[in-house]
Amino acid sequence: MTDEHRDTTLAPNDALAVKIASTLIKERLLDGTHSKSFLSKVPDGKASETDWHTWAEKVLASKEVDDGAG
Amino acid sequence: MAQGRIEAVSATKLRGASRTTTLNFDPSKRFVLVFGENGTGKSTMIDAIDMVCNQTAGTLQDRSSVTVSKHLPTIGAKAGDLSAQVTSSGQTWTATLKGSKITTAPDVDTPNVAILRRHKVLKLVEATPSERFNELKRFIDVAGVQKSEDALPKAIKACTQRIDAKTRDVDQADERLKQAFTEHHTPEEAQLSPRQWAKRRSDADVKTLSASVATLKNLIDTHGAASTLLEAKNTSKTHLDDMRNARKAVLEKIKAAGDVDTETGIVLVDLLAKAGDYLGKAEGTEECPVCLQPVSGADLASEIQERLGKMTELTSLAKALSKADEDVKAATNHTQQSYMGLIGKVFSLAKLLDALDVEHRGAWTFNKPQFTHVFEWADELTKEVIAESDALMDAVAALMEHIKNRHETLSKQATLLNGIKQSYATCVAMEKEVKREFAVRGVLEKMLEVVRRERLAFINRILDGIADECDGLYSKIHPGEKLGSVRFAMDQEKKGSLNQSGQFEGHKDIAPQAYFSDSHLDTLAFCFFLAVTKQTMGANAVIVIDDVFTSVDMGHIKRILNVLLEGTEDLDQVILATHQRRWLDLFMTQQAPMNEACIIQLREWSLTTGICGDDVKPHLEDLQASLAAPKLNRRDVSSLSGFLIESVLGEMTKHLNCSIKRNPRDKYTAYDLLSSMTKAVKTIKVHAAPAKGADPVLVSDGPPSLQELVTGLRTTLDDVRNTVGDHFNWDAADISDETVRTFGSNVETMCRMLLCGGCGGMAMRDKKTFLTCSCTLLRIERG
Repeated sequence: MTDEHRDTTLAPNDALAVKIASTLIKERLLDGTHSKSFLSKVPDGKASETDWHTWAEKVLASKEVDDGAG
Repeated sequence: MAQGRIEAVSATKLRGASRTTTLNFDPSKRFVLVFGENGTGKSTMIDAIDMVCNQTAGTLQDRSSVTVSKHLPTIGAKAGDLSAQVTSSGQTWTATLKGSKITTAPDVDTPNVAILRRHKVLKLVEATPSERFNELKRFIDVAGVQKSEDALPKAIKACTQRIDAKTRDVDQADERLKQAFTEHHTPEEAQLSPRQWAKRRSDADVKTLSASVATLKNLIDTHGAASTLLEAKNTSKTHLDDMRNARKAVLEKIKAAGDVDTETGIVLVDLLAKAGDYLGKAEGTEECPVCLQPVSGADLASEIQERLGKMTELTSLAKALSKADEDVKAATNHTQQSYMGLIGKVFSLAKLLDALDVEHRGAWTFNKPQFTHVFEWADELTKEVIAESDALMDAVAALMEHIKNRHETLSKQATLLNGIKQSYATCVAMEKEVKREFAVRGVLEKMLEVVRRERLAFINRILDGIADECDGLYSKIHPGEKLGSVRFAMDQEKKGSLNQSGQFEGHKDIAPQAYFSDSHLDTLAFCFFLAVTKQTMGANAVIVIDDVFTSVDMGHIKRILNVLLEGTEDLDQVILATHQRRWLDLFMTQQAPMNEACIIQLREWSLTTGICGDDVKPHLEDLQASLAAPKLNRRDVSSLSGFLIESVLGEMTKHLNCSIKRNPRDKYTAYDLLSSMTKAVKTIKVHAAPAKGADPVLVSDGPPSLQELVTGLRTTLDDVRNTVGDHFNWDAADISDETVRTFGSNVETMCRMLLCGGCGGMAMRDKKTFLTCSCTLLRIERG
């Protein structure tokens, strides 16, 4: 196994991003439907101000829908 | 996916491996000790593992003044001659060198191997915080997430800025409402707040008001346009009158001109002028164009010109009359058009007036029947419609001042109402947005909290895990010593920097490299390496330690060995290479459990023989050479034969579960082993395939059979091995060379049956009903 292989296998950025996404979803701070977009940007340092704002907006919208339904 | 324990490693033309060397590791043992004095090729064999499993040049990696393509092959060999092989779980991977690039085939699922070397020990312990971070970077570097995290405070700041801007908008709109309220509220509305007042006003019907404003504006504009057209019509009419008067004046001048009847005269002048024109064009004609009498055309033309000359005034009057006629005609047309335009606009005006609400008319009344022709106008210009049109324009003049005033009042009301409505809407909408932005900012702040918390926890979990493991291992090696408690922490001030601290004689947070002895630093680096490997590679990992402990004493060696044997149970395999005989002695003197270790000893190296392991194949080759020598060396043949019996049958009796008479030292003589085998050889069947894919051949049935060989050797062992081989004995003189040669030859035959012709190893892999070697060409069925 090469160093590159090991890096790919461990990929701390990916592992951490998955953990963060999971916690955010659990704490209702990220809408589960956006986890794909979250995981495609956050580990690579590509999440911008706009992305964070969008995710926050969407989770609020989702909460409102849930609250409305509830 | 990792593949478990390494069963064999092989090197060809790799550094010291001038000939192909294979080391077979007993797969049933988790611990492998490779002992060899300095320069016997230990590191070369570990380089072979590194090449295959990690695609690195091992010892030569990153070493200065070294070119991999030139220095990795054995001196005198080429890069293309070099190869290394590792076998694990029946699968073999081969590494080759092309230029400086190392390639492993197949390139997937290679065993998961971490190697600790002496130079790496220093790197781990004495590294700067940034170097230490780099050592662990692949496990704890979360720069990507951190970069994304950095965008979060910016998003929060942007949110705050939007909240501030929108709040300012609300304040400004509120200020406008307050002012409007102060200026325009009615006494009944005094108890309302500006917002309440604004809401009430916003709910009012602005539509009707705006429609009234538009109607009045349309009326004003239409009246304005009609007035303009009226003015144009008047101008046009005046012009027509002027043209008519001018024509009249010309006619009067004609009448006053003389005796000749004016109209006749004018006709004559016209006739003469036309005749003159004709004669000018019909040059050379000899007859009158009217009466056709013979006459000179030139004379006639001359005469006409003379007559016209005498009628100059009359000619001039005729031209003036013609122009006056044309002017009157044009002016008449223009006046008619002006009337048509005017009446068209008056028609529109009449309709608007008819539809105008009474409240807008005020005291003015519209007598519609008086303007019947205007209302029924169908593009026909009649005296009645002209008269009514003029009358309507006169009548409406009195209304327009009132209309304009009313329009201005209503416009102001509409503007005010619209302003209130807009300001109120701004307040409501912006407040909603501000509320939304506050909610978003709240989510963003919580997100930031989670991201930071998880990032720190993620790194600390790894670092604490490594530190705890490292500390646990270290305290096992140095029990009761007042040092250790190693911790790692990311430097919060610097990026990519990992601090290390420890405890020494009750002093906490000290730099270990400043206070620990060399041996303590060696063991600290070893514990750190082991902890990192266990934490990050997990199960299925093989660790290889290449001559790392150079300055530790026997007490510490025992404890390190204990850690390697008992503290690494979650690792698949531990391979320790050392030049220190004390490690070997621990096993040889039964201070360490021999049955848990696979011990390999490397013999003296030379460029000709290459790296020599203590496997039986080289000894077998030595025996073969001794037997083939013209002059029989009896002692060599006897000794080598004895060694081979003990080596081969020592392993085979274990793996075939043969019963043996135990002794306290767990050491068995060749006779014990041959006796132990006599029962087994009655039932076992040895099959050997000449190559992969080839059909196996039953070899144990001989001739001679394996059973005959073992029985025969047991009978002659005492005479040859014990009499000729090991000791000086007068009785040896009675043993013939032929007996010695036969004994050696039988040992060779037996060993060839029990050793694989391919890998050279014994069948030690237990497959329940049979045993097989690492390359599987040799197979022993238990029967």
